[in-house]
Amino acid sequence: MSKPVILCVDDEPIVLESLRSQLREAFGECYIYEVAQDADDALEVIDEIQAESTDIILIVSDWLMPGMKGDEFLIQVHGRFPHVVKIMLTGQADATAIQRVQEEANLHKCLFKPWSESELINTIQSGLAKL
Amino acid sequence: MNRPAIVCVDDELIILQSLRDELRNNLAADFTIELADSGHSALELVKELIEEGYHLPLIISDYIMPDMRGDELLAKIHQLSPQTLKVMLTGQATVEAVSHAIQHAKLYRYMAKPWESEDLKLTVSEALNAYQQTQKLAAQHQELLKLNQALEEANLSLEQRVAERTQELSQALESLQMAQESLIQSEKMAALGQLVAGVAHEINTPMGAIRASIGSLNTALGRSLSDLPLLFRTLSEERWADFQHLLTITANHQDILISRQERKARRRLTTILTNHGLEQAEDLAMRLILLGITDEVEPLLPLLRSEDCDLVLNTVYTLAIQRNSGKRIQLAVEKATQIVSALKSYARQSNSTEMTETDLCKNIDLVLTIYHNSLKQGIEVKKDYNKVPLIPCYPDELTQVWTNLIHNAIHAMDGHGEMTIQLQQVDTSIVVKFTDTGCGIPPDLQSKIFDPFFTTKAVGEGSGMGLSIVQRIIERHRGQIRVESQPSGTTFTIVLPLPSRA
Repeated sequence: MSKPVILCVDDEPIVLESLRSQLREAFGECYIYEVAQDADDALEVIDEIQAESTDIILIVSDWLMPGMKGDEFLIQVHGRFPHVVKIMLTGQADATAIQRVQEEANLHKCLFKPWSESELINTIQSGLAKL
Repeated sequence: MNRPAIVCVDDELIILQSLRDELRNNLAADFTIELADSGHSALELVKELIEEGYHLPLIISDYIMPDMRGDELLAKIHQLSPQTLKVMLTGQATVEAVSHAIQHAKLYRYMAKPWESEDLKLTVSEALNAYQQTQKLAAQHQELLKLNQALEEANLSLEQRVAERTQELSQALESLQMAQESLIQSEKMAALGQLVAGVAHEINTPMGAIRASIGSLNTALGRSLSDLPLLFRTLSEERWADFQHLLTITANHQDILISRQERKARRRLTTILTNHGLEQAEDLAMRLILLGITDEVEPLLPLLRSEDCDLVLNTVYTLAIQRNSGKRIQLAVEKATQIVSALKSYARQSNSTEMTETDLCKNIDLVLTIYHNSLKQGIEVKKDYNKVPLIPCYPDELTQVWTNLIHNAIHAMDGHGEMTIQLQQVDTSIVVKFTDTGCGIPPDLQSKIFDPFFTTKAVGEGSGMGLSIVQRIIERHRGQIRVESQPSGTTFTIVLPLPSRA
């Protein structure tokens, strides 16, 4: 069995690269860091991870993406994996969407772009501590 | 007002008295009858009467008098009171005297002495009648003059009023034009306002990447500074060569991998490494992928098996982070700049009254950049741009046209569908077509969409001015806009004529 996976979802490659770089810096080789550019891609990653019998433990997802939006994606994931820690990272606050994810997907926290590294890492740590 | 006076002049009192008596008997008491016994006293009398405001319809004068002849007197009186009718009364006047009187005093009548009572009566009443007629005519003339003057004044004031009204109207027109301009501007700003939220996201995304990359850059730099001396001290020649080889690979590693491809490559690499008997193949594969190595790992096997593997891979990775962070910052800055400059050119108020040669492709792409965020969520934009010549136009106004059409298309498709933008030259015009796969416009509404204030959007979502402004702008470019719509979608066609070559 492989290491647990942290998944980042954003339609901007530069954001994904930045996130992955920060996560590796903070958590090193403890986790595998997967990235996906939209919700469909992310669901595919999750299926693959499942097939390899690897655990996905945390998802950082953008809200405004082409196709399925972050709130809907996280709610879907929550239906299948209620224990996964879900964090939303968005440049545009849509209060209704955030509230919905909080209620229906047990959202751990919503972060806003531009995010700070310490805030991101602290949020992930506090989320993982709940596991 | 004094009564009219009739003046009788004769040097013989008896004659004066009988004249007076006859006149009194024949005329009603409407007249004052004044007598003078000489030319001079007659002149005095006439002057007094005129000063006192009497009317002098008639003077009857003897011809032969000691101080002044009758024709002379009448000529003088004529000077004083031209409208007075003059009758000369004598027994022995010469033809010359009478003609003198006629010529210089406008003699009304000549009567011979002794006069017939009937004749005097008739003459006097005719003279008075004539005088009255003349007076009446004069009054009427006066009245006419007054009317004429009033008419002239009215005319003048009418002209003035017309000028004033024209002035008022042209002022109203001017302020209407200003209102229209500001309406166009506010429509543009309203559309912009709806975009601001999306634009915030567009700008915050590169900002986030910049902030994160700067953080990574700083940490990686710190690590490099401590790793590099160790590397220089301990590395064998072979590992040094491997290190440099890896640096070259990362330097040339340009593309950021799409996650799906990356996962495939990683899996393949993990298998290859496992087959080569390496431990922790998955970790290794991940680290190599991050450096941009996807295949041809065989030359690296000695390094991967050596004890310096971690040090070399980590150092290269830290250096790669710095390189990549720099690259990401550059990309993010370009992205933010692009958005800001699109916003700037979009919001700029055009004061230009002259057309500028414009590339319509760029003009349309500017709006697509601003709408990128709204579009990317579910709308596929197909650009079918053919090469078209530059066209003289008001670029800011056309930007507003595209904005409206794109905005409406997104609305019609409810955020999901396909939008095709076609640009081509047809004969001497440039034709731009916007086709969406939206709900279409019902046939009964198609004729109304260009009317001001027509909207199908909810209250507060649109002013309903959009397409009417679009039409106005297209007309200003001497172009045409058409709409074809079915329940499966709508096409707006804009035809902009190119200037004819001189």
